[in-house]
Amino acid sequence: MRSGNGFLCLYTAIVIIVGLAARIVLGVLFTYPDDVQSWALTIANIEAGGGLYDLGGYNYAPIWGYLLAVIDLIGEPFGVSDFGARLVEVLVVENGDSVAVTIVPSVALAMMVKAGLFISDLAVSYLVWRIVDERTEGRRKADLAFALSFLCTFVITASSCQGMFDTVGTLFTLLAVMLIMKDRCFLGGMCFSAAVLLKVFPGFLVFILAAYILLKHRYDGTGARRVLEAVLGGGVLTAIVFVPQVFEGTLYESISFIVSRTSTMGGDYGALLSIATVVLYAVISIASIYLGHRMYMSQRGDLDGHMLSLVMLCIAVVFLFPANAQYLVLLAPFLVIQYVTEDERYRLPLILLMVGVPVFAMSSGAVNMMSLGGFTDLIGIDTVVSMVEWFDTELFWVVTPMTVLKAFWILEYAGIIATIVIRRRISVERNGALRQGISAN
Amino acid sequence: MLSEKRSDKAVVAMAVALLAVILVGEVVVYTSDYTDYSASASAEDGVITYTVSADGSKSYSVVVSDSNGYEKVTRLYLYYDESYASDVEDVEADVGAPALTQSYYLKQLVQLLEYRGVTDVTYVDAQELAEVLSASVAAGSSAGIGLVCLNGALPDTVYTGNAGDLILTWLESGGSLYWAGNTIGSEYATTEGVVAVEGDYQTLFLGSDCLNTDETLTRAYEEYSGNAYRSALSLSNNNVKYGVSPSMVTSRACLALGYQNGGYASIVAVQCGSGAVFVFGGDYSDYQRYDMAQVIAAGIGPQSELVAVDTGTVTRGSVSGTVEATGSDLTAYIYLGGYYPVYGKHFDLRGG
Repeated sequence: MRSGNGFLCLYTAIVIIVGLAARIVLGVLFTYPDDVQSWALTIANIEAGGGLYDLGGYNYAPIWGYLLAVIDLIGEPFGVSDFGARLVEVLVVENGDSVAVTIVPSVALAMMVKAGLFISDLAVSYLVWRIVDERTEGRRKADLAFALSFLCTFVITASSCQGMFDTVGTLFTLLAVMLIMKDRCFLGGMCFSAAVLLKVFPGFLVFILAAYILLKHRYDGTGARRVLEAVLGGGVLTAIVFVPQVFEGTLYESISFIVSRTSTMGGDYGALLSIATVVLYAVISIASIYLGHRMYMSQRGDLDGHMLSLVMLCIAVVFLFPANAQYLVLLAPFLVIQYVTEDERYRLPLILLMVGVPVFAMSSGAVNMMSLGGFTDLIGIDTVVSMVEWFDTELFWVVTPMTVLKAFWILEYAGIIATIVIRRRISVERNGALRQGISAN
Repeated sequence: MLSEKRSDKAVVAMAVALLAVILVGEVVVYTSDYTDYSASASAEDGVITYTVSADGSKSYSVVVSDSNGYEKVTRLYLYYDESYASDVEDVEADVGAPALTQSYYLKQLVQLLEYRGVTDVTYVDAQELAEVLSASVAAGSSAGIGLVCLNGALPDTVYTGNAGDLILTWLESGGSLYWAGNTIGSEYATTEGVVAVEGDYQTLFLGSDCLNTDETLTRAYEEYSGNAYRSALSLSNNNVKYGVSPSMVTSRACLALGYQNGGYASIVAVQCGSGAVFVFGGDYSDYQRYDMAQVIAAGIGPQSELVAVDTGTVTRGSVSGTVEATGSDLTAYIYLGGYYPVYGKHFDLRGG
């Protein structure tokens, strides 16, 4: 039941201050140049009249581009005039194992974009607080969930260092889940569509959410209608988002990021990788359909709890392949909710992920300091270049400092697998208890 | 279950607000264009006065050159003919990005040139190319007319490896050829395939043997030291594959800019009669394309000298400034956005 108290209190205020301070400091110090410079290019293309797809450089569905336009609209008057530069000093590292450096984004541009991501992080964590507050007694657990969410290490690195927008997709996913739980299915469908158009992974939750609606309303006969409302909401949002691309004939380009993941890849093993990708996504789709079936066949009294648990499980299964560090941002809130409201055993995957994911995310090493070196006086660019070269230096055999950081991917995967295993164990125990209860009766 | 309806309002409000932000962004994306910016420049008594305007916040650069007789290209032809063979390397594109084909490259180049003020751009196939080149030669001068060729080999309608070929006559009469994607002149294209040129193709186009024919010599790690055009024009392509060594160009005006490695520069403009050949190093790349658009729009040629550069920032309004510059054939190229240009405009300041 709700605590009856508002969200803001001394505890949450401290968490907000600490979380924002960490993001700002890390955001200034570290910027992954490859992705952030593409946001700069996207904004510049918009300003030059190239929309999102007429001029090359933006390779996602439109929503993130629209949000970048708003971020620019708000941020530029604050004097963000210099988006980045091709620094001659860093050209020498393009031959190493580091990611190609590209045009180094300015700290000002990076922070302008990241500010939007920080706001999204805060909103996500607020929604986590709301869900836990409404499902538990008192506010202690809700406050803990908020802290775990907002201070989650890999959520912080994804927004403040990588500059990736997975937090926005997570925000819309959480909104969709909450709105559907509150029977606001049209609006929930709109948010779900937005989430999928930001990052495709939430799309695998569709079967669970549809099954939840049908099961929840199996006695009042409104299930099908509500599912239809959600579909309609999703369709309306999708249509609105893609109208410009339809008119300008760039619809294929606007969905190319999704399509290209299954199209033929280059290289000696390109065809094999392409087939493997298709097969794996097919397997994941089957798994998500199965979880939707499990939702529909649920006999638990707490349908919301079961649904949230299955959503977490589905996301974990999706990220068995591929598991780029920033993708795990989608798993974070749902794992935190399960840890705080269901079972403390989820502490293990939380710890594994909070240690492994941010280190893996930062495995490109000093490349993340190019912006700091090129656009501030805090460190010289030549020093940064030396550090980048050191990260590529063989320590022994083929091991470099970079490969050591990349090895933390093992912890990330262990965290995903631990999530699935623990969830399975809880399910077995719960079913066993249920059977014992039935046989006792 | 989640509890009572009073909780709905905050969540609903957040969802509606975020969806509204998406719609606002959609409107912003499709109502923004380069007409949000403007620039003007004039020259008098060795002082160039300029004004730059922007709706947002933008860095600007005023690049003053003495063209020393080179005439900026005002009409540009893009050679593209699918019925003729081409010879360029396949280039891997980023995940989700369109394949970097010749067609895509040219289409993007048109867009990049548009907001840099170069709008008289026409596609020509092999036959049409021969016709337009013949017409401008017959008119007595091809100055101010440019041709972009990314095909890796000129079509046999204008080039077969001989000194009297139409492309060379056209260059001699003042045309400007912008070339990228392969070793210039080493082949010509037919409808059946490409044919290697046996003779001294380098001398035909560039006056001497000065091309980088080592395909392993690609990346450059330092800027070309002979002038400051790299930073002045915010040039990004640091590849010297197929590039020209300016020090090996003899008895012709030559302007190198960009980046250098092994004596070769990423962009070199070489005088050819009254015209010019611009060689851009490397296989197809986004950076190469940006640089090509910038060089074409800036109107610089083999004889050009960088005279002055002024930079600044304009935020939601106008900024005016002056630059002292002397020369007999001054031009100014003003662009906004630095390495992410959003607007450019060329000014002929001769007589000022």
